[in-house]
Amino acid sequence: MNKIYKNIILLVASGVMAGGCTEKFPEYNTNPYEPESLPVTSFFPAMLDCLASPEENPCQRNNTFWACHGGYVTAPNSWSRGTLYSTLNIDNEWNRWTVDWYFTAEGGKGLYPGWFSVQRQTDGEGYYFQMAQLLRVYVMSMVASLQGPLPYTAVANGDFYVAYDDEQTAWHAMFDDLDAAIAEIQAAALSGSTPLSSVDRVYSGDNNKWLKFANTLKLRMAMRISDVDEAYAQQKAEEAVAAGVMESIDDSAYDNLNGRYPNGYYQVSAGWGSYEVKANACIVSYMNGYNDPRREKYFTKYGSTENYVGVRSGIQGCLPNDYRTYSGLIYESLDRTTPMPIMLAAEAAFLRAEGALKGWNMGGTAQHFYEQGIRLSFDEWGAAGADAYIADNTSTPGDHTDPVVAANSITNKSEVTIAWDESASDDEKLEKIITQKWIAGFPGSLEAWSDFRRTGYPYLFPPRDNLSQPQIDGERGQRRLRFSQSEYERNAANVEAAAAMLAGGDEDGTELWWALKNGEKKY
Amino acid sequence: MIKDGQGGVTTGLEGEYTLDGLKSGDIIVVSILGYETQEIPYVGQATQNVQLKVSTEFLDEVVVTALGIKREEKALSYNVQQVNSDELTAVKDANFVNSMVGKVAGVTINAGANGPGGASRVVMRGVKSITSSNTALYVIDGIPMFNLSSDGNASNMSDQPGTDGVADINPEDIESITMLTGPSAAALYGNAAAAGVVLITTKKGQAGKTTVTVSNSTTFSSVYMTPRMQSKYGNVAGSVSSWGPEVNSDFNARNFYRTGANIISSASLSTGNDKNQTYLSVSSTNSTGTLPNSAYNRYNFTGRNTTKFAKDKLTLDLSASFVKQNDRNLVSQGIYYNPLPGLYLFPRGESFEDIQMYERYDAALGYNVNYWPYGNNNIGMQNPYWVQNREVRENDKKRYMLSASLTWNVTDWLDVSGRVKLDNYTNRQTYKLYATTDNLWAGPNGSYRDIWTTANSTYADVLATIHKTWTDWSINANIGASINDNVFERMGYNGQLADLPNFFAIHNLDRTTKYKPEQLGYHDQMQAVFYSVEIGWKNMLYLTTTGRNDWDSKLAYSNYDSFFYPSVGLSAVISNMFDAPQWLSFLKVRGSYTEVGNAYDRFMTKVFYPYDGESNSWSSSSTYPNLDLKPERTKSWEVGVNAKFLNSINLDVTYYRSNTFNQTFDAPLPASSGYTSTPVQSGNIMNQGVELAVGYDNQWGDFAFSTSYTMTWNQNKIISLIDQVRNPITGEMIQMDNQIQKATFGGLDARLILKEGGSMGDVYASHLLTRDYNGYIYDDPAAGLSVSEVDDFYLGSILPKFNMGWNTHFGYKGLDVGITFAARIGGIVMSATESYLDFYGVSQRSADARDAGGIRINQGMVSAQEYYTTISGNAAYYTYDATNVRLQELSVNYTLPSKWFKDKVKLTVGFVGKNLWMIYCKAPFDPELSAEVSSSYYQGFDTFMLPSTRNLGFNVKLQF
Repeated sequence: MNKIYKNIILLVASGVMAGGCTEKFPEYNTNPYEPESLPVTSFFPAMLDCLASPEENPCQRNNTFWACHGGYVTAPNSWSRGTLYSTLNIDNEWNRWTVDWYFTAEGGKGLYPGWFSVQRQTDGEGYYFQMAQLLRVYVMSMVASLQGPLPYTAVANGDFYVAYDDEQTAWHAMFDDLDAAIAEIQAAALSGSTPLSSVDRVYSGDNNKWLKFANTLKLRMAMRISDVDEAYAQQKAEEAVAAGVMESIDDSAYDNLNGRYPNGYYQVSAGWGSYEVKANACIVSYMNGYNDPRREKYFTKYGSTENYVGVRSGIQGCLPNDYRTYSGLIYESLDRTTPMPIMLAAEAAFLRAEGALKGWNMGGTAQHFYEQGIRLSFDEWGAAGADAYIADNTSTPGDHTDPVVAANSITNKSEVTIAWDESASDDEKLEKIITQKWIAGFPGSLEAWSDFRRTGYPYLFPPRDNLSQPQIDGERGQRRLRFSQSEYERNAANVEAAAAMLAGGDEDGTELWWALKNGEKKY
Repeated sequence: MIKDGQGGVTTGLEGEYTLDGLKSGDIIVVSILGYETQEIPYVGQATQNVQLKVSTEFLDEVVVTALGIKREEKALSYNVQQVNSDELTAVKDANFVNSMVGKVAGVTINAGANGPGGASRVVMRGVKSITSSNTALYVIDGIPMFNLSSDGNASNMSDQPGTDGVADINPEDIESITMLTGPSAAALYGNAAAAGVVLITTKKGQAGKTTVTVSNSTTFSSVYMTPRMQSKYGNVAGSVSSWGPEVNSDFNARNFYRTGANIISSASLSTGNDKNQTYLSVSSTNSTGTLPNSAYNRYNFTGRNTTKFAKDKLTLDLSASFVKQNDRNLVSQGIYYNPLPGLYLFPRGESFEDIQMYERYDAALGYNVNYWPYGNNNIGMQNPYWVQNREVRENDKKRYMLSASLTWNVTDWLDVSGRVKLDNYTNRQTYKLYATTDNLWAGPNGSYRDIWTTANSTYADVLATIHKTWTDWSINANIGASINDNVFERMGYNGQLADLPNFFAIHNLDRTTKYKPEQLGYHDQMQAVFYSVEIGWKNMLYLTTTGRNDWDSKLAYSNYDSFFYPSVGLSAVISNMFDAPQWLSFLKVRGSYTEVGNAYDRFMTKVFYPYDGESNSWSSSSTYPNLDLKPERTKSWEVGVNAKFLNSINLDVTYYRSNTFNQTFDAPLPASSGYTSTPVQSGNIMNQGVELAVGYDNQWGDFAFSTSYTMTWNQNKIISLIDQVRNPITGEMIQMDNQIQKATFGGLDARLILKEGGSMGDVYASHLLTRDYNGYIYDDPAAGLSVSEVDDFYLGSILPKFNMGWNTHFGYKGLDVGITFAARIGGIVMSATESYLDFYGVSQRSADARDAGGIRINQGMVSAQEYYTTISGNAAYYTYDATNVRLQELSVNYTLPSKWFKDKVKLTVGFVGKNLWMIYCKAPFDPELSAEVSSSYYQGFDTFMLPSTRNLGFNVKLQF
């Protein structure tokens, strides 16, 4: 019997021993296929994604959904739902996608997962950090242009409840951060080092170009707030021009993709086979009226014709295949590796033209920069005939005539011509500058929508079906994106304080700080 | 055994025994479970034959419990239910799990929508875990099987789900199944069993006779409950949707489906003598689905040998099985790789015959090109024939299982056993998408995916079993230790084809775009020691306690090395406590309390930088790390009664309640924090319910009748969700919105949201037709009808309130008729299919409305097109009651009189039907189908889901 008991004890003991033999557990619980640290440069590709949104789904959301308000594109799909940006009644479910993504998204996407990593690894100083700051200012200036107040100065790694800044505070803070970044990049440009060359899809690490990029961004930002913060804006704009903005098409910023993603516009149309983005009837009608040589560079032709016919925005209940043969963005016919524009040199020229019109020291006259902007744009797209185009003082924007659905047709209210007229009123000159800036800015919808909200130009077609509740004037269109629903769910106190900063509350029709006020319309 | 003596002997299988050392005057005590004990005085007789009487005092039914330990049912303090092999093989299914529908209480079984062989969803006593699997653990002959199937990240854009490890089992090899629905029963298996256990006991060779069984089951299946669609109105030329003129097309989507066939053939041999028994079986399962060019095939080979040696002190049980399984083009739901969107939404004014010629030769390209002029319209519309013939999705799996167990019968009261099992498989999944497949899925020259998965699972345990009986007392104890080691690796490539069209090879992948190499893997190991002690008193009172301590590799780098959890249970056989009246054959009351610990997911205790396959780069994480985690815990208790009256009526009823605390889940963060979520440990999910089984079983001469009714009621409630959670770094209290969205249902605005006070199945929607200030639907003079976003409103729960089954058998001589009804009561289902059909003007409803001149809104009429294109996409208009009652199974089997074959052969022929008659159902599709079985949330939802099937067939079984 004793022997048996001994055996039992031995057995149990060996069982316990087996249980205690766990020295390999740390090895097992270490992911064999994912590293525990990454070099600081590896965080830049995802941050760069926030500039042009090349990945297909973000591209669709950031470049084709609310982007219909810029007049370049429209999405001829209702996704079997009745609440869309194009019909001015977007719901919270879709509204939250855009701005949330710029902050963060699953899989380390968006700005902040990478930005926090860079900040942590650099202790918030030096070239890498200042480049991350430049990207942050670029992206957050987009967010500020979309929704107004935003969490900026209070953002900190590990702080889950971030307070919003009012618009002026946020814009000033962005200028401060941008100035610090410019100083650092200037130093790097002088030294000739290119630490980001392997991951920089825009300029391959060329800091001279990043410097011009940063100054052009500064000029853009200054212009945005120029009607409400005039002296400050003039100072910043003149600083930017003095430091050197983009002047040649070699300076233009593109996301060259480098195999990271296929061109997002291509994916959303031909890539998915569903052609969910088409050319907006608005810009096509303008360019038809001007007989603009850039049309063949921007758009595909309508069906098997030689004509360009865009799709009217805001058609309730439409299906992509029904508008399959209408003019699409040129990307649907190009190779999927085609680079995506971020900021083009022509924009800098038009910004200077507008600054000159305001009497700022932009280094030349409004007419000079206006015509330079058009020429740069023609060069950019490889279009011929800029001189004749600039001299055209008769052509006016065209109407939209839908060849199939008559209800989509609309008469263009704008009669602005191309050729500069020094004797025209400032308002007429502004309309010329913004109209040509708009055509040259294709396909960057946020600048187009922002300029429209700021200046009232160009005249943009109202949605065919305006389903907004309460009613938004279709010709003024949506004025901003509402704060994300996820903020109301998870950062309620702060977002409610932010809503109180907006005179009209957190609504689609509320004016931002720098936009036209009081229902003012130019048409 | 000899009374008051030490030791005893166990009889052989034929009941023979030899007792040594008897003295005259000794009393021989003969006892066996289920019979009355007899005492025979020894007076020198050489042979003593004993005829034992069946015990009428109590029923000593023996059931298989955790770790394969056989226990007397009366001693159990928790509910177990047994299903025998006849119930599984009467109406055979390629996946035997589906044969249990309607036969057990406390279990919800949903067949996968992807047809024969598809994985099934088995949930016991409600969903408990917010993030991990809620499906039951399968245990084969005491050894847990890790049933790896795809994780539950389901959507309408998921890949089509496949089969799983359980479906590999040959139902003919199953001796019986025990369902352990509660955690008490499963406590010895640890956390993997928190969601319940399906315990499978397989067949062994029988001593003393040789039996060969050959059987065939052939069933044919046809689709039923397809959506009601119109072909009266066509499309306007150039438009895809069918809102045009009357065309009276003869298009009928049902013609696309074919009759499926499911042929299961098997043969088995059982032979052996006292010392050695052998069981061999082979089986083939060949199923062709209702979709063209879809199939599931499986071949099983099993051998098992049981040997006794060393004077019968040692028993060695060896078994080996090999499974070869492949499937092609299984479709469940969604808009990816699914022929149904293109089929259902086909523009009715066009010629479907053109579509049937799905490919046409292109002389310039030199190969056949896809014919589909209608675009995918972002909802996966493709030529349905092309999808099934030129987007070939295949799996090829080889799996082998080896097991050995050695039992040492040390003394009459002590057994020691050791077991080892290896379960390894390799699966190769390939997708071959031919050139000119829609761009969304394939490149210009086609696309190819080739992914290999291997899983190596090793389990070993040692177990000492002590059982000793005194006059009034008995003890039954197990002490053991186990190790469980799982290695999983998955790697392969996915991309568009480069230069050579339709040449499917890795070297022909285009590495410049959409190129996705895949690699993931893990190694988990869990070690445990456990014990179970049952003390019995006078055959009427049993106290059981168990305990288990787990060392889990997932805890490495945390502050916890291991965790311990106990259970305690009491069973009282009331009918043995007093002189029970004749009619009360048996009465037992029982109760138990259990805690089960659970580790969180692997790789959570350190920060890793994931690889993003979309951009082919390493990325930072958008999850804010929380490395300070502790094991989770489920606490549950149950009480129940088992009773038998008049020896023919039995009643089992159990009430249970479980609370799962401190679950680890990702709590969403505001995007402005720069992170999407952070892991937190919080919450309290309660499930309470009742399992009821009532049966009647009797025999009058040649006539036998048995009937049983099972009922399950489960209530799931979120007592708390995100509560008292602190920021792991700053320590500040996280005050986030106390709700988590767990699923969206693509195509509808519905969302499954967990909220305190709600359940884990609650679905909300947020859009309704715009109403004016008087509450009437607003028909704007300019823009017409529209929908408005409103505050989230509750649509219902996807969880059932009740599941019921009613199973009846009539027997007369060789004839057996079995009927099973199954019912589910409560809950909702939603259909995006119906929404799309409306939007495209192909629903029958939309034609009826056009015939009627429109839809009446307030006092006026609105055109059918305006109405249906407006409501489409809004779940409020596409939600249905999930309640349904059906004739689940019908079988008529006849065993031919054996004297016809001179008693040498037993031949049974049968007619079987499954899913024959939907008696009550208000939903437009079969609400019991599961689109993605591994998901806890993406259920009760139809997006172009493959319709349910009605099956008819016959069985032949020959035994000699």
